Amino acid sequence: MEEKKLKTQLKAAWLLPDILYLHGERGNILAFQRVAGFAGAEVRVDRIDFETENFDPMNYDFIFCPPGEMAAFPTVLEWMEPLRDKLLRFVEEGRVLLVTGTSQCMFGKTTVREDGSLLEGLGLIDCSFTERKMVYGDDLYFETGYGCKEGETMEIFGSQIQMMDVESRETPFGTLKYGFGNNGEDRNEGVLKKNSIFTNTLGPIFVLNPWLTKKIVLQCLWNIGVEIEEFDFDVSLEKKSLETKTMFTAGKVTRLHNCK
Amino acid sequence: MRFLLALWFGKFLNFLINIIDKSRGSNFSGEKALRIDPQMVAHFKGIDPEKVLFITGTNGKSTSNNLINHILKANGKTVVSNLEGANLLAGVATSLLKHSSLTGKVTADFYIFETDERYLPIIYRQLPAASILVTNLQKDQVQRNGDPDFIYRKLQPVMKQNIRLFLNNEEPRAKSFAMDHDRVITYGVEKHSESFRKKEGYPSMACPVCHHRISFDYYNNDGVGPFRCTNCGNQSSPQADYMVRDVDFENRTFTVDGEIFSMPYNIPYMLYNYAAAVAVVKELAGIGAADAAKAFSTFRNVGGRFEILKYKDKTIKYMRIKQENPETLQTCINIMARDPGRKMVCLGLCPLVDMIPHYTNTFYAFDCDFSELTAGDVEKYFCFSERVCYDTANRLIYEGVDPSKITIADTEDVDTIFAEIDKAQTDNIYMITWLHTYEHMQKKLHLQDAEPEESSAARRSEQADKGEAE
Repeated sequence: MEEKKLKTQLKAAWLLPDILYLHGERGNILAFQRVAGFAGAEVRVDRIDFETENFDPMNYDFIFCPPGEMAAFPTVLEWMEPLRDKLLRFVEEGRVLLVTGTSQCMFGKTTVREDGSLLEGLGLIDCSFTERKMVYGDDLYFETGYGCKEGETMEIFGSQIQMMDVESRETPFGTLKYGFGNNGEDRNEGVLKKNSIFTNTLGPIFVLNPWLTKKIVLQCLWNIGVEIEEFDFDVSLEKKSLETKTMFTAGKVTRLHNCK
Repeated sequence: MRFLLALWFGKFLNFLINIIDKSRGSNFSGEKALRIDPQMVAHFKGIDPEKVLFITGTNGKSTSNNLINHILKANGKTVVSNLEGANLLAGVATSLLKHSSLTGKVTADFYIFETDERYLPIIYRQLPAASILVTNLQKDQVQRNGDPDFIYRKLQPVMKQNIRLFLNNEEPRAKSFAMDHDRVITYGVEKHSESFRKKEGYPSMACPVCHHRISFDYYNNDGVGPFRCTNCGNQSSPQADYMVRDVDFENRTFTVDGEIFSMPYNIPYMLYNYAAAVAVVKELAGIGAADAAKAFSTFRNVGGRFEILKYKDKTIKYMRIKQENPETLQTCINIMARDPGRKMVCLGLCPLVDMIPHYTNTFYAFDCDFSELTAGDVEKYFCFSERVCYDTANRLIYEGVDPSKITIADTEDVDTIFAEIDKAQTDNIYMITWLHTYEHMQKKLHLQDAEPEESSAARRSEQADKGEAE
């Protein structure tokens, strides 16, 4: 499908891609660029490393923080701590921060590691985390009203490799139809804070769910004063994928009870 | 007394298994015997820990084990090992059961065990090997392992013991165990014609020591190559203690310490297994390069990942990846990319059915660089397998492949697969899928084959000739 003629630019920051490097998350950046292209927007992606000088979150429309190994978090948090107030402002002003997987721990209050040690996060979201002794991997299928009209929702499908349990006192990003979500006990998945998303959905969530990517692009554009009601592109492949995988989920053997 | 009961019970089970079902012989008796004596591996007599080597890591354990066994045996040594690949405590127990006397005494020159990286600490507690070989620690089986650090943390307590470590010089996590350790032997591979770089934009990795960025000069395998941490001292040495050099894939030779070796299989990732084996047999058994080289010429691996299947006028080159493991997928992509001929690419990335729950993860494909493959001469792509075929196709589209060149089938039905292969004009077919589907394809062809034994023999012969088995 042809991309529209470029008329505006979105600026995206990809945080520490070599440090927070798990689960093929690069796909999210590709999908964000692709879908924004269908809206007629060019995306400039800056890879933000420890060595990046004068990184200011407020210079960006979209920030992506992929998941990493928890062992790296003290080092990353040391780098992030001076940016805390700017990141908080970024979220509070309604810009879009996407945080996936384990990296949610760095934006919450505390994380109790498996060895009993405590990791203090930035405290941007009112969540605490406990590292799990056993990894839990599964499909994750939920609905969210992100960017939707009142009463409407969209379905999101992805993978989850859960290394920690989430205790959240925030608004959930989605309501589970199947999956472990925040803790395997209730139907809450992730956290929604203004327009920012903190989710357990790993891998290329934007690739698999372009309808979500579209809502995020629209939000980013709206934030810079570009109002687009709608833009269309072919999502038939992704819809077929969703359809077959939801059928798979409906019939699978599971030990989860939270969605029954 | 408990040990003797376990021992005799295990031996009795082995006797029965030999009569009933030999396929269960690698693990079953040890598993049952351990229920009687959970510490039974520690109770076998006559094992000198100095003669025990554990081989652990993400990729290459089995091949390294097979090759080390082969070289030792070719040089007159007796070896107790778990060559069938049962690499948990029960597998080790079964091997020892098979090779012990009725009093539990084991006599061999060496004890070489492949050990699952998650279970190494458990096995080590019962059998404190004096030597451990670490092949690499990479993304793998995320449903169980989460991330590489999960495994790294499990291994660390053992790695800090006073043991001799054989470490991959060019894999950052394995090499990091050399820091603050004084009994280290490193092995590595010199740059060769199949070394590669990834396009800009692909993440590197975090240093396991300080969690800053690892920078690779190039890759010999995905995630393996000369490297340095941009912050701390974790880096590959310019020269490993044992170095594979002068790699010549065409003539299938390489050298170590000036000695020319024939290359049993001319696949890049095997080179690290070769280097590791040469290092181990020299340090453990005093077998020099010349004697090791003689054994290489007669090595045939078992349980290969690469096979050839003849179908009508077409050649299907089957490559088995480890699911959720981007390194093995990248290796297969590189092999296809290096083939300049026109080809059909069949990608059957499948749902994960390793344990409950099954799930539909394909995200590891986004860690892999398809660009050289897609820039090559590919007639068509065929994305099949239940549930994840659309995601597989989408990965190719994100690499810039024209959707009109992609056929999708939400099935693993072999008739559908063969029908799609029939439509290809090229006779050069590459196939990536899990073993289950491939075996169905083999079975289908053999049922159609009037002379299956002859066909099978021809296939094995061709496979051996081309060296395309692991």
